[in-house]
Amino acid sequence: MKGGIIARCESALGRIDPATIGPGLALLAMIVVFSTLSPYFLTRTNVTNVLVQSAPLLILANGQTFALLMGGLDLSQGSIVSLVSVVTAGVMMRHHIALGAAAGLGVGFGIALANGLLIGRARIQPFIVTLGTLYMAAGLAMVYSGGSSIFGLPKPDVDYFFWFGGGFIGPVPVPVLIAVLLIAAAHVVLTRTRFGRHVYAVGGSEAVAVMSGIEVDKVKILIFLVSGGCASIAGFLMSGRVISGQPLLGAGDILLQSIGAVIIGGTSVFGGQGGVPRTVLGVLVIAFMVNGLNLLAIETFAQQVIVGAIIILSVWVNSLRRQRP
Amino acid sequence: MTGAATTAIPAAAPSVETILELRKLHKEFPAVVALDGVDFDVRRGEVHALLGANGAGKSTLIKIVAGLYRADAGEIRIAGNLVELRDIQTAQKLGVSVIYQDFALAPNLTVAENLFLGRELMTPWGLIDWRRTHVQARRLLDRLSIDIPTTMKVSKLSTAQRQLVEIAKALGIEAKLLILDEPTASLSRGEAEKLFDLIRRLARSGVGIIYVSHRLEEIAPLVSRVTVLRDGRSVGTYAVDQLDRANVVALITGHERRSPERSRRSDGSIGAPLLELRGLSRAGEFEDISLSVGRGEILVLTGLVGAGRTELLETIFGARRVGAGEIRIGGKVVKFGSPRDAIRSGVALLPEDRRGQGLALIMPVAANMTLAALGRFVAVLLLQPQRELQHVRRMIAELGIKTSGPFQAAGLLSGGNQQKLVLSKWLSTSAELFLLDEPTQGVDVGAKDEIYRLIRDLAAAGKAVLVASSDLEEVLEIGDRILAIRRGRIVGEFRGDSVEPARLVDAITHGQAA
Repeated sequence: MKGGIIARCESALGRIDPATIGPGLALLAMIVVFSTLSPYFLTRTNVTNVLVQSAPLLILANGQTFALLMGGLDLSQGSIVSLVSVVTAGVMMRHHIALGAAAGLGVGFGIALANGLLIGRARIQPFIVTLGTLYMAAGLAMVYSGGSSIFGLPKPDVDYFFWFGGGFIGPVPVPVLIAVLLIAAAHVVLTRTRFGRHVYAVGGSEAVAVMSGIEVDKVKILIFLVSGGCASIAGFLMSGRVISGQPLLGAGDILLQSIGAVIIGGTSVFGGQGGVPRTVLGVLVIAFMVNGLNLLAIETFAQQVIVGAIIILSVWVNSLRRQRP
Repeated sequence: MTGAATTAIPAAAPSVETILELRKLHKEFPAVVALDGVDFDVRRGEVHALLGANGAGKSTLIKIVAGLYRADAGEIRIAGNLVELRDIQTAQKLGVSVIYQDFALAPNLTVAENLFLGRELMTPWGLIDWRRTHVQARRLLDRLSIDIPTTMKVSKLSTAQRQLVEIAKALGIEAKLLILDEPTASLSRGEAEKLFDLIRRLARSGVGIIYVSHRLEEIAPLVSRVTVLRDGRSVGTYAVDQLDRANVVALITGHERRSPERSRRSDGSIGAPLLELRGLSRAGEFEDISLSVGRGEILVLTGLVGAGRTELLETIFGARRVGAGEIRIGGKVVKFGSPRDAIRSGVALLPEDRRGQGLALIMPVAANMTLAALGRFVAVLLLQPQRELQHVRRMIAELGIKTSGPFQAAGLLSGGNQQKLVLSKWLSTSAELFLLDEPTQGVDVGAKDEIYRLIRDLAAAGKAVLVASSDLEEVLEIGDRILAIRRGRIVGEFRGDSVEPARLVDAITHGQAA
């Protein structure tokens, strides 16, 4: 019963969500193939490395899941990562890590709130709003940093900073721990709170949500606060891992990976169906695929072709599964 | 057309003059027999009226001829040839053209573009030949004496003008059989006259026309034959001059109407008014509506499509802004800014558009049922799935909702069970006032009776119930009091135990107060 009504909704036969079977099998198949091809693949060092590296993606995709569940998208996540990175480092340089963190995360949440208000109150399409803030936040990151990286952060702040992005508590990497906590929280919110149920309802049918007395605009604002908030935290961790402020930290394919992971996991792009456990699977598929291909010395560009194919394949498989109306 | 009295004339013998012929047409949906062995034919140059109450099978018949549905059994002949109407394209190629109540024109394209949509006129270079398009569009419109510029965007046209353009479009694809579904529902008298004139000329040119309607009186001068459907069967085809208003109503409603199984509480046991409207208006939708519904009372608002019923209920529910007048609930004036406010004041709305506004079809039965009442299941900030499921299972059993379980997607239920699910959603709240908009639309006969029972139970439990319905049988079946509404105004009030169906029909179609 732990999953609640929503998590159980598609599992007529028990506790296994049938949507997770596809990506689950894909993950298993990958592990089998890569571990036979590379003896290093299943070592503890490698697995830990993959998890540490994929912690920010886990956090980003965790937030992105909310946006997709309402039938939207958050394109501004990558730019938020960049902006949080330079603001945190810049403020830390002159003041203190606490102030840096507050300023950086504050700015990130500010962009998230702006997204939410424009989507919820001004009722503009999420795609349009976050496309706009994608550009704006990316530009702000360049303006603030003057276009160059912010290196040479003061001691001891820089050590704390790195602890968040690459430290350990016992055997557990700190960013992985943070990711797990955020994912657990998101799962509880989605399956066990009214807000979570409202997210599914808005994604399932906005008209029905309105007619059921749900405050759709508030739900949307919160959704984009969660998505952008997760991006801010991910930006902070990524920045700590490279102990610097990088104006292009989120400009790579991390945004597309975040959306791709949610989709590979099996959350519907039309909203209303899916959840965080699926997203975790999606992230693991991407992370281990990239890692395995790296170990086999397959070049990055070929990897992109494969990840793209997986995204399309997973949606196709999912659409075959729900042929019924 | 010489037969006396109301003996049915035999359907025409198959001949070239018969454009459409249906034999023993049968169509079933899960748990509903929509058409049960219907015979029907249309001749060249004839306007044939198809009458019947909601749910009689008219729209199923049309959709089969249009190629939207496939018949389970029976024969369809077009111009004498046995045909299989696999899809819309097949039907169109055979010359069948349907004009639905909601139009199939692209609003952001011009009249000419719409007239040639999908069969654009091309230059030898493979580009659209705009000059020829507009010239031919003009010719087409002129043939029908339609005075609209071909360069006008459809979004700028009135409803009546759009209808004329639709007919022109149907003619453009050389329709042999034109089906009009309740085309005058939203037209003024003058506009309707113009439409009739056009239909007559089309018929004279040899097109066979099926005219679907509720109101025979209005179209009597236009049609030559009339077929009445009731509960999926044809009750007969008649020459129009054999019929008068009284026997049409009798044919549509059936002589053997079930006698009311309960004592109606038109007075006495009805409690204090819970809902009162005073002079409620919204421009263009309804005007000066005053009514009250008491606790324990079922008040039915009836009228034709477009009479303003849905708009009125949505306004009471806070989904539309009040134009003028006031709403009182329990004696207090209320101003709802949203459905949320209304729900908090104990109002529930079962919407007419069940699949659009009532249920999130991809969500499970359980989540739909508790959506408006989640607060009940929260403890220590979290929803309690055990408690929620317990409630859902109890409701499923109480209302007899046929489902494979609480986790089945709501969209997979049959119409009647979907409607029970929407009802259970509102029964899960603490609503005292129930607004039910066409509660049995698209619901099979068995489930209808169960829904009527649930509605009566609501009233018996002291709730106030306001039903909007265009289904005459339903109105007579459940109404303690009945208000006839026509073009946004109340035109008559009847007591459920003494209403004469003919007078009610008169009021909603002609506005003659009883």
